Amino acid sequence: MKKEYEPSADFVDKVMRRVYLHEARKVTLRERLLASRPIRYVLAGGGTVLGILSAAPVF
Amino acid sequence: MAEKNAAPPPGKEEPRKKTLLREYIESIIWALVLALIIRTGVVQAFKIPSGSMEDTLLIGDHLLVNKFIYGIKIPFTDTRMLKVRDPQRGDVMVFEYPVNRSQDFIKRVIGVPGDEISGKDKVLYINGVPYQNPHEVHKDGRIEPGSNSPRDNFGPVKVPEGSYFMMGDNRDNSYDSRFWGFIKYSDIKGKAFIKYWSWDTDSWRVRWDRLGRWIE
Repeated sequence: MKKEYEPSADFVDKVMRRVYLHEARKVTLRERLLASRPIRYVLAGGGTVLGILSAAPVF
Repeated sequence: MAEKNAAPPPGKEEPRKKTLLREYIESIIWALVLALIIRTGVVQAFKIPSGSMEDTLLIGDHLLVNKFIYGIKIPFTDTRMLKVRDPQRGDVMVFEYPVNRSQDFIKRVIGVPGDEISGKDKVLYINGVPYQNPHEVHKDGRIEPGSNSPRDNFGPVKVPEGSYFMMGDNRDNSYDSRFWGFIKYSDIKGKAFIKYWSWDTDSWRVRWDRLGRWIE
């Protein structure tokens, strides 16, 4: 093979990076939010606080 | 060229990633467990639907109750652990109503074990000495004879060991120990300590001046 047609050493790396970027763009914002760990923790923490503050009547 | 994405050799499998659903279920379980532990042993919220503790607590007040100061109650038992101190006269406590245990009451501790309590013409006597709590109010000028009702004239009664005599601050409009007797130490749920919310249902507004106030 001629030298000028030989792939560079990081050829696969570059291609795969583009593939991952392309695939990541397909994920919707909703899916990304649902999969976000901080949002899940905030939801769980908020639920905990609401559970604690759900007040029972006391006469 | 080395293949970066090659499958791992047999016996060295990649750790399995949790599915999103499983992570959500785990988060919900943790939230439930944490809320349950905190409500059982640290702090619990209550709201006031009656006027028996006026003017200390008004209808629509929401408050937090310290669940560990008199010892954390082990669920389904009468056992308590890690007690900070015993209830003292003047504490505002939440407890199970001894006549109907599905209801919780909030009143002020008036008599501790060993005290002798009596009421004569709206004046309270503890061990023979007149006692007036700075938070008590009387909103009815009439005096009921003891033969009609124990509201203004009752006793003397001696508080047994492990029991407490409870009264509402709104003395003329409170259904308390004068009517149904003592509560036991095991009936106590905790000590009310702060108002975190207050909603006036009559004027449909928040009572901002009451938020964050300590309950004394």
